[in-house]
Amino acid sequence: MALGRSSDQDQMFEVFGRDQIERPLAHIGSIVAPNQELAVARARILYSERPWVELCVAPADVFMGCLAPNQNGSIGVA
Amino acid sequence: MSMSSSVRDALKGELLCIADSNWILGHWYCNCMLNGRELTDFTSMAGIAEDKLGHTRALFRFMEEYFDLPEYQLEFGRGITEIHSMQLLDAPPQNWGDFILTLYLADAVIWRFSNTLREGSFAPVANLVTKFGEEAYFHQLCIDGWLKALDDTEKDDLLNALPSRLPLALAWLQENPTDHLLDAGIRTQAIADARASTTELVLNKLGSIVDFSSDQLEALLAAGETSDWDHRRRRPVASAMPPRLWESVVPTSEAAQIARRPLAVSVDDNIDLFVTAKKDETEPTF
Repeated sequence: MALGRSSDQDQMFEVFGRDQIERPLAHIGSIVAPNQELAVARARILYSERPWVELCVAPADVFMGCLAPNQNGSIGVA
Repeated sequence: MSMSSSVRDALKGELLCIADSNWILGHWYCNCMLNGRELTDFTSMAGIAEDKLGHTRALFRFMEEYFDLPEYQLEFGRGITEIHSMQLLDAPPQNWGDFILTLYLADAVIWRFSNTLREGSFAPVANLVTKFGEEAYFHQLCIDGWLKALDDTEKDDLLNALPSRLPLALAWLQENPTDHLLDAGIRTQAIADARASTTELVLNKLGSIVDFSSDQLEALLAAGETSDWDHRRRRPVASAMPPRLWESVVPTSEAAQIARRPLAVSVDDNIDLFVTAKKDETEPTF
């Protein structure tokens, strides 16, 4: 069996959590998975260091940039 | 809640079937962890193994208290002919496809079986099972993801493993001649109904992954039935789990016994090492 195999289905997911109901969701890490089922399960299992009241994942490619680092904030020129 | 001796005895047998099957399933994850496909698989398997072994120990502790059994003897005081684990988990996985199939089937039948107790009249067991179900949701989600990510060769391996695995999984849900738990209201769904719904669920799921004909299916569903069945242990009469598998669960070598000496000593001497847990002063606070 191959170890550390990555597949062409792999995609990045961002993980967000909050540990108290009155606090906002905060980005707590990223996860790579070939599908949404594994992304949710892996996030739930991996980020278990605190008793979160909410934990969610989103595909990294759905986020739209407004400002970008290393380009003086610019993400494009008209 | 007062119970007759026949109900108590039946409850003890059924809880041992759940606890022991989770116990062996947890060790499947431990033993196969390094065959994971990605780094996150290792941690996922470690997390699931922790949960499965946690379910087992929660049931062991509950049974020790409720049935007034000596401490730790369910874990360390039984032999291979007394374990109530499912026969499905006796043979080791032959490849990744077989491994994922067996995890899927074992988790599905253990949960469907446990779920018959979830809304029953005996609150301690119903509460434990509800907690198990909340964790099993993520285990099944993880397995669904692994099933979905199988490549063509692995799907062929899964299909080849199906004739040996599926009948054993469904055989575990064989109905007892008399179901004392159902009569007492501790179980709210008959095992026959749980088996029918599990069969439908499993076939729909596997049918979306691999192709099999209805003839193959009929043969598979009939193959697991045996008259030589120990209803209490939910496995063939007088059958024993493989010694090598058991050795990985409760090692009997001298080195292993020395390694777990504090617990072994506590069992022999009846010293409870878990009375006072010292607070870890270095633990970070948030």
